[in-house]
Amino acid sequence: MTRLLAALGGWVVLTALGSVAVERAFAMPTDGGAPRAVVASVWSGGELIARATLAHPEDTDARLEAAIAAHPGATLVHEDIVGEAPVLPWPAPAQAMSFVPGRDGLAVTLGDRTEYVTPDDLLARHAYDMGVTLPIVGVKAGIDLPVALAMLGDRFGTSVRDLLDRGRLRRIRTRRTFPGRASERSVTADTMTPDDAAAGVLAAARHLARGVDADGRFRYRIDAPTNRTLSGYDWPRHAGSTYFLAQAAALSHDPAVAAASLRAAAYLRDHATIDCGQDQCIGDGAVVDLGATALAVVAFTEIVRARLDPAYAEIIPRLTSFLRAQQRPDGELMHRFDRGRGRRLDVQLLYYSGEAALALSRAHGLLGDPRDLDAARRALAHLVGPAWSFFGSRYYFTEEHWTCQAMDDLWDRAPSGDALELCLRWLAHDRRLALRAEDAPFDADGAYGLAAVPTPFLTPIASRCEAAAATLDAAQRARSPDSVLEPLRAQLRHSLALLLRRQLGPATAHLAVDPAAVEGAIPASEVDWELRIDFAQHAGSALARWLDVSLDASGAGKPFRHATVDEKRQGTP
Amino acid sequence: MLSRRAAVVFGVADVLTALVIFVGVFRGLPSRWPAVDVPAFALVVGHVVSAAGLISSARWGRSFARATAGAALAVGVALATTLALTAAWLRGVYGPIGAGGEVIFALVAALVLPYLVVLPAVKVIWLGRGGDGQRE
Repeated sequence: MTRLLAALGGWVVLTALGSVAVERAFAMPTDGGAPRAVVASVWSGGELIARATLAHPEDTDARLEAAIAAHPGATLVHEDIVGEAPVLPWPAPAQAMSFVPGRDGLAVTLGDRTEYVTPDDLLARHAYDMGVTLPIVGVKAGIDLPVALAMLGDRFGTSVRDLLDRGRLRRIRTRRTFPGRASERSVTADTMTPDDAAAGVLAAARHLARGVDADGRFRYRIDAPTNRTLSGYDWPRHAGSTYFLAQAAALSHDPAVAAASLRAAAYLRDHATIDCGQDQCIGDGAVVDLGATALAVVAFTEIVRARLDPAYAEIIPRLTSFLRAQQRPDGELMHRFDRGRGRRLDVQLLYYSGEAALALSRAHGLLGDPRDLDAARRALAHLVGPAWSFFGSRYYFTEEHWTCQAMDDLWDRAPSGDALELCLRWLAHDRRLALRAEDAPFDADGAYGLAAVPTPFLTPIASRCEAAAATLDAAQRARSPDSVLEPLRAQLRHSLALLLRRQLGPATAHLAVDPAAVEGAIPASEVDWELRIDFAQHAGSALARWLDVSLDASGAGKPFRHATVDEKRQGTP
Repeated sequence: MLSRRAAVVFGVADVLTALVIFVGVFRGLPSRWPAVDVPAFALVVGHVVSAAGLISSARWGRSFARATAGAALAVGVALATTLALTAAWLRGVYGPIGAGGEVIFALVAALVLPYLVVLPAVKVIWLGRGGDGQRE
């Protein structure tokens, strides 16, 4: 017995000491001062044209000079190596996860030669958060090691096997600078201004507007580095993005944004409005979902409110009639309609009930049909009541951003204290999961998550901002105390500043084949540069709502000079 | 001899341990991996047989239960060591991994330590004695 207890005690001590040793062995002390070396690269059209390793930032290299001379408009980028640390040689998943996304690259030394794969190389190849699937949380983490090693093999002119057998692999931490260019101001929760938000709204809207073709169809998914259009389409997201374009047009009066909004709306009206029983709905299949119709109503309402085209007011009642017909007596909505059989399918999918509640509320705000108000009120009451009432519902939430926007929209006509309370509780719950700058090695201040290993996806952050802005608006009107309002305001500022920092712009333009095509876009994450229309829509809408809510009714300090907050709220035709 | 009461208590504990391992690994983990599944299955079977042996007062019951406890202890020590070193490695590479990450590791450790370290250690010690505290 004594021997076993002694052995277990020894094991505890050894494990503790071993853990400390492992942490220290793999930690990367970063140099605050001069970099260890500088990887200088010339990029043009998203391609690496020339590269040299410099001892000091002020050094130059003839290859770089020649590349810049031969490629007008090329960008010289310095990636200062500020830290270096070892990498586990085995197993492969641990090796892939040995690199902090967006911050770390690889260095391989073979003989007396060292080559680098930098964070920019990996970003351009979409190689971060692609290494290992973490099935428990359904995300990917780590770098795509085969891609990184293949790049190194090319540079050494040898095989990956040879690199692994003879090379010494390390991770490097870099800091990106642009020689000769003034450093960009970093938007933070403390420094974010209405002008920053307005610029973000307009850039996101212009990005979406550039992708609306002559018929009114969006470029739905784009690979940002290559500017390649990817497959897929989705009517609810088309409608949601049309709504945001109208919202941005109302704020900015940008003619290109307004025109794109109208083209996208016309596409919905002319190509996706179909008969669903005695009513009309949005879709194109034998079975249609409720969400597209709901968000189309939201979009058309915004178009009329923004005075872009009052004719859309005539279409809205035909669509709201469909939404109302899908409502059950208890307020819940049936989310599908089988057009072939003329049957309503009583299934519930994520988002749609909240979207329908918002659509009916907006339609009533515009057209005044009391049936829409009653349906919206009952839908909201169900969403915040029976739909989310079970043991544990205080600790677990679903996505409520549409619910909270509906709650806010209804506040003046059918205020629901229960709905406001649910939204406040949900957002307070999320604040407990909020990451701050010191919680992660990458840019996560304002993100939400349990652990900071893969980079956070930006769209859930954006949709929470939409909910937070709406909830803040309602809470202000409900005269909630500062102890409720201030944490919400701070939460919003942290998350919105993160979205603005991650919006594609000058800092990442050198990695894109066509920087102008993707400028203003919101990527999936800091390192996943796939674009989808709803990424920009949610972020842009959140910023627009924050502008609405944060500025006083007089419009003082308003970045868009064309319309006051009151004009927008009351902008009925 | 092992007392009847101790045999029943350890037998029931073995059934519970088998259940926890089965649910944790074969229901809780979302994908199958032989490196985890095979030892887990062996432990589940071992604990069920051990429980049967102890509760039925089989002659082989006590020695089999002790061997099973020793195997569980070895697996538990290896698992806890791996978890601790993995957490340390993640902290080394990523620095802070968020409060949630630490909670996840703490929860996993809290599940592993009672069933695969503490209980097997108690069983190994207890069953190594003559029963109820007397060395054989």
